[in-house]
Amino acid sequence: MRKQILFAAFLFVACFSLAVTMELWRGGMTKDAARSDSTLAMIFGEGRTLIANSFIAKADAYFHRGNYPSIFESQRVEENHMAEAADDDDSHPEEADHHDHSEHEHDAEHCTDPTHSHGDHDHEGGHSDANGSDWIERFGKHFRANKHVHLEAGEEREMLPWLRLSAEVDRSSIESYTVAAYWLRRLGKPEEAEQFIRSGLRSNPQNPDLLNELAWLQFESRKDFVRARNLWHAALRRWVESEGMKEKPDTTVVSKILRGLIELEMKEERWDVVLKYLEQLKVFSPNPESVQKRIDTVREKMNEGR
Amino acid sequence: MNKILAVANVVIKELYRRKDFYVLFILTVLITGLAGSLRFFDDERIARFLKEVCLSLIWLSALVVAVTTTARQIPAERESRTIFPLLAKPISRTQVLLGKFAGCWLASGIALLVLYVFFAIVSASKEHAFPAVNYVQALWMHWQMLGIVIAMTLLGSIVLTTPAANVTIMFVVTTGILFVGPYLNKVAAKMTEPSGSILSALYFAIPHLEFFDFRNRIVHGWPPVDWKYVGAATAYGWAYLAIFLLAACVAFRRKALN
Amino acid sequence: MGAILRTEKLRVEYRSRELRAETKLALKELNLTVNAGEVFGFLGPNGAGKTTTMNVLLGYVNPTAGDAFLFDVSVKNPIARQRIGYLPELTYYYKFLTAEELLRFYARIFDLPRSETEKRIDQLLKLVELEHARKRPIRTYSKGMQQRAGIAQALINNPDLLLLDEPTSGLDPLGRMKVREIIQRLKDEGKTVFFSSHELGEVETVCDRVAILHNGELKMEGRVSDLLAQYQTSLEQIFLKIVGYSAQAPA
Ligand SMILES: Nc1ncnc2c1ncn2[C@@H]1O[C@H](COP(=O)(O)OP(=O)(O)O)[C@@H](O)[C@H]1O
Ligand SMILES: [Mg+2]
Repeated sequence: MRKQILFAAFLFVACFSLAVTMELWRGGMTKDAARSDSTLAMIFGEGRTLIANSFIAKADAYFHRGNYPSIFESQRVEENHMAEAADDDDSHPEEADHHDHSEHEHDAEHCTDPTHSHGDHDHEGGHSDANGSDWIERFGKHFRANKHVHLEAGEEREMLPWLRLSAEVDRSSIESYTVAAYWLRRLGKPEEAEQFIRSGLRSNPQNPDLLNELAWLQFESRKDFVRARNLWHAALRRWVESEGMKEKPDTTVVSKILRGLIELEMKEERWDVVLKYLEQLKVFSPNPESVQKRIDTVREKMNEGR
Repeated sequence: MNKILAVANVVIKELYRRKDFYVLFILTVLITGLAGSLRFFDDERIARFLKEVCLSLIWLSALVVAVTTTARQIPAERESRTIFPLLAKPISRTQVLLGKFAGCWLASGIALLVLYVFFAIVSASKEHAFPAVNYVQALWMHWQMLGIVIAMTLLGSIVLTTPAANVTIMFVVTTGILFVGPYLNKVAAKMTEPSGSILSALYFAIPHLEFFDFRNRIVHGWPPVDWKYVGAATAYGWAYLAIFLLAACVAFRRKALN
Repeated sequence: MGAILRTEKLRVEYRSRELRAETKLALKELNLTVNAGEVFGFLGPNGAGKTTTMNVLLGYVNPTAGDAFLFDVSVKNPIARQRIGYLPELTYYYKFLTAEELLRFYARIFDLPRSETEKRIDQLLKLVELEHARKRPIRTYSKGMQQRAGIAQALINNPDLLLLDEPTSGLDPLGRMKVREIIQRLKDEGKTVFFSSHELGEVETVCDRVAILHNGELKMEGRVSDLLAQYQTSLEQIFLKIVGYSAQAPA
């Protein structure tokens, strides 16, 4: 009996250390092995982050109804995202991915963005690895959930526990708050969304990403444009303070903020302001041509209005 | 056959007279209950998290029961010296071993059945659905996987010196195969030569237990798998099972007992 | 009827797996004969090679040289073990089974029919005086009760030859007496009993013949009455002399 509990504990430890080593190993593959000299300190220091990230990954797997590439298969995906989020200190594919999904809805421009095509996730076809697959892999496909589908029609709620847990484990995991808040909003639970973001803000005061999410909430769910604008302005200021000075600033957040502001000002038909934000977005966007297109259409609209 | 079943019968009796399984079952129920009592954003309909927690606990419990029960069989026979009066009777070592295997496999099958019934109840209470075919497939595949693990553990219990070492190794091997087994080929492709080939040979040599893991399918409600693939996987599993059992028989026949 | 149990120049060496470890010679050219219907006492101090002899007879240990026969069949052949009952020394039976279940399990291995099984179980439990405890798990038995359960399992197939390895070791005087009574009763039933012991007292009372083994060598073999007449002293004195303890003083 005592032995059994011991074994269970042992198994847990084994799984965890396996996860740690895999994560380390993957870190070594994608980044430089520079950090690995203090492996032990890292394991303890990053343990929480590691668990939180694995929960976020779990949520993403849920979003794909269990069809989720393992870390061994996600290398290629990651490389793609690496380009746009070069200095993002936690540039895991799953997180980048969540931006995608939330942003799909946020603006239409995104769908045409080639770097975010769904091909990233499609592991059905033979193109998932260049060497071609062996019979074990092919046979295994019959048992795996292997169609690329997303949760829909309210089923998205199934992801929430994992996001909640990841925030619980690592309070600085901004991702957990923003993604959960986004889906709570979609699921018609703005109260819960706001509560959750605010709890995130308590642990991460004035975080631009969280402020941005809160602004979206005011804008979309509450239709409170004034507060939304104030929040976005605050977020932008905070972003400039924290990231603006950096050599390679994290541009994903600022892009999100700008997209929000653009949408808001378009609704308010303040075209000159829209133009100003679009010009700023063009600087940060990985795909400036599509932003330029939007600039052109807005210009046309302004001309028509005159 | 009767002799094999007689030995198996004793193993099953042992399992239900010891408290191990009950403790694990109660732990599973308790932790599931605990997970079920968590409220996430006030949404009653969230079900998959609980299903996943419950199924994972079931996997853990079943593995612990199967491996620990199997690992102690032969060593306990030797330690308590019951192997001597047993082998003094008209029964061969192979029959003893097959009996032990059958007993452990049947016993863990019974344990699995109990655990899956519990899971079905938990799941039905949340989702108001009872996908019987899915459950039958998942249970069957899980049981076949345990069969491979049990055969492997039986071999380990003869070859390795202590049950503790055996249990440890079996846990590491099983979880290792489940977690990284399917990707060894990908890792191998990235490695430099000697180790790459070794890894890729390992990839083809190990029993791919992940075929038998239907957790995701159950949690996310995927449709049942075509039975012909279930049959093929079963045959695949039995091939490994037979290899491990054969190796165990050979090792046991050669083993000096005193 | 001839010899039921016979060994011919039996030699057993234990080879250690480790390198450089010397091989241990456990039995040296052992010649033994046990005839039908006798109770044979196999005596020797600890480490003399008694259990080793039993192990050869049961096929657990292969002899380095020589051979052993049961019912004139070489012990290399498993058939030789059909008609024997064996009580190993210091065995703890499946603790979670009851005596009844233990016997039923062993009966199944002999392919005994059900009705026959139940009849024999009743008989045996009466013989070894465990009827009151038949439905209790063996875990709850005293040492003497466990040993008697062991004797019952050795008798489940109504064997013609019984091999008992130190059946009385570790028992209190009462327990020993009960075991001796059982052996006596088996003898009355006409069974052949081959039992090892280092308790001299019990040997004198129940054995027809004895053999004394020391360091793997057979030192003496004969009828108890003949030995007593020949040496004019107790069996214990003979035994001590053979194993190197002169009666006067230890060296
Ligand atoms: N497996 C073994 N390996 C090496 N030596 C052994 C082994 N079993 C017994 N022996 C040795 O053989 C001798 C005879 O042992 P045994 O037959 O058990 O004596 P006993 O007469 O007390 O039953 C002893 O010296 C013992 O140490
Ligand atoms: Mg002995």
